[in-house]
Amino acid sequence: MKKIILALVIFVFAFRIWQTSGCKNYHFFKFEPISVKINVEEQVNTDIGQNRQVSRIFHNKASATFYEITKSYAKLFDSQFILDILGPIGVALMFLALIYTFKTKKLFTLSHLIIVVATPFLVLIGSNTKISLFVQFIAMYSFSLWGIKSLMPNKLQIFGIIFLAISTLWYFALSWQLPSFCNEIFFN
Amino acid sequence: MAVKKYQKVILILIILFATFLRFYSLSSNPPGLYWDEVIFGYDAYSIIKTAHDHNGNFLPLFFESYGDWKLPVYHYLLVPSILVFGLNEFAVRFPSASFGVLTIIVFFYLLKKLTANINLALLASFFLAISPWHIQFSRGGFESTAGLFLALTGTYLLIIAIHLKNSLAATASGIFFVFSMYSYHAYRIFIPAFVLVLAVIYRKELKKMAASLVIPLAIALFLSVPLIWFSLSTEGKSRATSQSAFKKEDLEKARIDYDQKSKKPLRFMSKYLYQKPVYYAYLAAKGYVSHFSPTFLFTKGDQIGRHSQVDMGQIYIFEAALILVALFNLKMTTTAKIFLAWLLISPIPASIVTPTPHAYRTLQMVIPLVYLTSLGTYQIISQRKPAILKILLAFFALYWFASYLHLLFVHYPKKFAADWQSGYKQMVEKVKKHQDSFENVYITNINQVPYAYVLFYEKYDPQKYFALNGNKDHFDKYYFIDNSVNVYNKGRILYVAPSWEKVDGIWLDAVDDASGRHIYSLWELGGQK
Repeated sequence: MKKIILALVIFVFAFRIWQTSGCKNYHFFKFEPISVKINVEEQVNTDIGQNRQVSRIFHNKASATFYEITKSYAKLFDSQFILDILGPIGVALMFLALIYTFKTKKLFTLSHLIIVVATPFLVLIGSNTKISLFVQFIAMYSFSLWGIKSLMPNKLQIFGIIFLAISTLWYFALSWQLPSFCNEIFFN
Repeated sequence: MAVKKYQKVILILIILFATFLRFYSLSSNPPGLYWDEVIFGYDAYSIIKTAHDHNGNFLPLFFESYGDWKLPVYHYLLVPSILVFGLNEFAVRFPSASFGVLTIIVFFYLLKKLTANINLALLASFFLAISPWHIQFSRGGFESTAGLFLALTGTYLLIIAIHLKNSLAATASGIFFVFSMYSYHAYRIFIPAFVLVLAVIYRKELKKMAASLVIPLAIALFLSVPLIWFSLSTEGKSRATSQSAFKKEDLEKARIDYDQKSKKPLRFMSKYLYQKPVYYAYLAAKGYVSHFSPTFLFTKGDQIGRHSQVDMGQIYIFEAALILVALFNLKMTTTAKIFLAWLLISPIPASIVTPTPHAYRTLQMVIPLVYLTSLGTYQIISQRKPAILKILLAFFALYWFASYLHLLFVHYPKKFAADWQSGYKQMVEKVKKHQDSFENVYITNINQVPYAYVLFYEKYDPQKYFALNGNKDHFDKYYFIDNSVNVYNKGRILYVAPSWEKVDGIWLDAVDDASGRHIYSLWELGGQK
């Protein structure tokens, strides 16, 4: 039964990957170092009349770099972004995979989770957004499959998985324009 | 478990610190009263003077307000506040700030009761005291802050009732829960769902005391009847309808977009894909998950300037690590179940309306997030980690907290003056200065509902307002107009125009908002020779 569920989930994910192949123009996710300078200058400008030393404690390149990198990174784990990639079934399985990882604390699954957490940095620094995003998608898809290990072969869960798979296909059909990461998409 | 002396001292210090963070410069930061604050204040003032709201309704249970029908709790809380402090910014914000502080005290006792861990309860109180999300809504006249206090107190009393099998505590719990639903729209959905989950979690205990729950339930249901009736009425649905995420025209637009861009063989699918229940479920799912977005929580927050600093998330960046530590080590205790349920139910009211994510409609999320933050912190402190690591983490957290204070007290009043309709108070003051030599005053309504600000800052006699049949377009010598009205055929008037409007008249004065931005100009019209 778990093999059937695995095949179903892989089919759903493959459908989504096929949909993304129509995207001609991706959102810009790469980290821009100029954003640090803009951040500092914008914040310092608001501090007109304040003690310059105090202003620099709070608005400096170190803190701004940390903040801007975190902001760019957070976009790649935005909930809409995750939902658009994984769909309802992927999100549910990801949730189960995280519980499985935290419960069992196995080195292999923890390493896999670290890869999922690390791949967005490829998008932030990589020159090819399409390839970097695909690497992130594959990392997330593959990690979420660990969630299947938590499933019991009972009727309720099987029904739940089938319902989620259908909902996901419907969700993917409705969000065919991939709004969270694609600017321009054409039907292939 | 009794609270030790030093723990009492720490709790008092936390409460004092929370009080400072919520009350310091309350009148001037946020920099101006926004529309709802003004009308809350004036309606309460009108109740004091005439026992009617400004629309002429006698001691209303539901306030017509601007036609968007507000719930009563905050209005009636303002009555004693305005009686004591007068009709001003501090009085309008005082109940919210006070309930913000009281929420911290209740949260401490709730966690102490649930976990028997006083240090964890102290940590949670501290994190709530410094929570940017909670501070933001404690510092404005927001209904949700009072609602959160009432919901939390209801939860605490229910836990007490279950532990002591006490029907009086259960009755009090029911009353607090119901009052929470009378405080803000979001709680009308949150409270029933959350209470249901609590009933499931505590089903064994509640079954044993079922007989003693009959009267509390009956009282709670009886008190809820007017609210249920109101919720089903046209007035009750007006706010939800106006803010609803489910608009037929949006569905049609999405379907037409699909038809235009899809390939011909696939076009037949649109009639199956774009069915109302399915499409609306899709929108609700998107709205729901947006409240768990790291961008919303940790980096940019709610993009409405009244709801966050916008330059940072709803909660601190360092809380991400603490929450992850808590989740990594989470054991499914009753406490964990309660707060996880609280977290998962919180975004539901906001997911069916726009815009999303919405920090005001999901203020209740702050409680479980603070619980997880404090749990993660407690686990780090308790574990045998090198002291240097703990010191570095503490320093990092302190730095971000200090940065937040800098944003709150230095940046916020300047950057978000427009979001708080700053300029209206200054406008009314300038009008008062010049109006005596004019029979009529025409004021632009470009920034919406100027009539409410004139009523509030003039402390206009509500009896006189009713006698003159005042309304949002005109009362006494004041006319509130849009740019379609010809102001040049009204005789000699004082005209308050937007700053950018070219006016053929005698310039009298300028109105700047708290950030120094020129908002209005005052002109004399019709008096030129």
